[in-house]
Amino acid sequence: MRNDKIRYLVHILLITTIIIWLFPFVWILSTAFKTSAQMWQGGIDLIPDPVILENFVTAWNSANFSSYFLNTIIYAAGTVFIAIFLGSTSGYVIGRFPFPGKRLVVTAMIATLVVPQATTIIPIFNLMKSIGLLNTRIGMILASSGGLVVNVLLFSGFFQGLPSELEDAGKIDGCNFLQQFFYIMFPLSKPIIATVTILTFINAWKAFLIPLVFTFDRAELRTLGVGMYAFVGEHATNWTGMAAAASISIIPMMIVFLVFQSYFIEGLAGAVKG
Amino acid sequence: MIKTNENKRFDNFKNSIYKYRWSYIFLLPTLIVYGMFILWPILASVYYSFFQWDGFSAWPNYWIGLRNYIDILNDKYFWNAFGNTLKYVFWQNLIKLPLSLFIAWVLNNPKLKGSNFYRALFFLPVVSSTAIIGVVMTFMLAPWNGPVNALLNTVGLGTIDFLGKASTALWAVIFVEVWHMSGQYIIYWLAGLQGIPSELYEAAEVDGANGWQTFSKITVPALKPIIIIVTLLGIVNSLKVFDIVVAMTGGGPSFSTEVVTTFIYGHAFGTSIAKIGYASAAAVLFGLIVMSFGIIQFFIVKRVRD
Repeated sequence: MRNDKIRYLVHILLITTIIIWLFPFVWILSTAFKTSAQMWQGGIDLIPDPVILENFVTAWNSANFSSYFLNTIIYAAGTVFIAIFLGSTSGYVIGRFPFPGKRLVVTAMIATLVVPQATTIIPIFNLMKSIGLLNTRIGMILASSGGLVVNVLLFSGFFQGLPSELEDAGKIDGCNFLQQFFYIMFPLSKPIIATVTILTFINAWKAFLIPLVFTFDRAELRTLGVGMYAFVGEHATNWTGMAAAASISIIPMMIVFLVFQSYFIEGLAGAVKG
Repeated sequence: MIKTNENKRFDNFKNSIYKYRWSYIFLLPTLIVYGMFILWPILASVYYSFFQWDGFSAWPNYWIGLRNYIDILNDKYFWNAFGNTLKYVFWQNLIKLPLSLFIAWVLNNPKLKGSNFYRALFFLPVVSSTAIIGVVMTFMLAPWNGPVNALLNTVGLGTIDFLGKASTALWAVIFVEVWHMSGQYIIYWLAGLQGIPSELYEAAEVDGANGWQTFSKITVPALKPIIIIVTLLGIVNSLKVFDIVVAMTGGGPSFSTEVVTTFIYGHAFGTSIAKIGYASAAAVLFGLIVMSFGIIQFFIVKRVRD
């Protein structure tokens, strides 16, 4: 009896906390459907009256959020592709082969794991400028692959744990190194591919500094985060439009997370469990 | 004799390189990217920091030795940014870590139904980009009767211009990031809590311990290694604070939310006459600070795990 009461109380407290916790999102979404006049009345009124879609039209069309959205998807997809390509190839050989120099490579990677982007951004900017990749999509994607070490470690840890019989079986079937990797090893690493994909995708969706400095002179390449920042600078009074733009930026990623959450949570928890 | 030995060793070396040629081929793309976007930028930042350079010429050419470092150590704006960063790191973690541990502890109860559902909802802010969270929160905290001030007015506390006042702006940024990032730390803590053997809890229950006693006498001591790891992760992550400051305050008002990263950014990209050498020196100092925490983390994690 007493336990049941406590259980209900815990649920009530958790639900109340969640409502407060997620209130900013609910409020921004409701504001996106409000008229400017209703918004300026202020307060915590959540029901739009009347309900309008105009703000979304403004954000999507005239404020360019349609192209920011597309840019973000291209940027995130490109970053994911590079993360998988580099992480799986180098993770495979680091995880399974005792080649000379391996210790040096792994030590160097781990030693620079925590170097902040603020320390590297100026030379990255100059390097990309001098090879003509500044203000390009490919430059932006390449410059973001500095976070590759985590992926290499995730893949190498996985490959290291696979039984050595796998290679022997492949050799008997006459697989060469490339076939071994592409037909046997890479497909086996699906769980890590999924984790790296979702972690990299969300991180790219959230990235700000690199997309910011890579679009100084190319506004049409802006991603959602940078576009939002610029929008505030340019249309400081259009708060309902901003609310619609923010909803467009936030909600798709929440859906992606809710669908793939197990991979994401596993990837994160790995930082603690090792 | 010696010569043949050396030849042999060289042949062995050549053979093992040849034997592992595919390993090197597979490693090469990663090494190129690592070299271009991590190793080279670190070395170049150190190199730039010894020059006075506005960034217009292709390469720095006015060597000034340690001048930039001396100037930075005498720059009160740098120390202001440094102090704000420390204040941010200290308070953000001091609030975020216990709060997320408490929520994780509640969610970890095996008898609690729907804990995965709650966990996912607490996590939602984490997947939203910081720049957008910043704008949403500027809106929430707006002095013209935004929802937070509307609430304050209703309970008779009057209007507070959180982001417009030097005394409250950094606190607003701290609290927003506590809310924004706690979900990630709930996941960390849950991973740690799930490693505590359930026999310990059962024994405590037999002894008639209440919730708080179980938490303070069983959970916290068993979690000690995880507490150290997560705290260091929290410190390293929060030292890098940048996006939220740019999106919410731009470092203002009157430099009250300027942090080291925005100080570096401002000198390199935020002015018409860039001080690349000066910004690089600050970037090097900052990198050393973050890396020293990273090194502590590495050795503690290694000790804990062995």
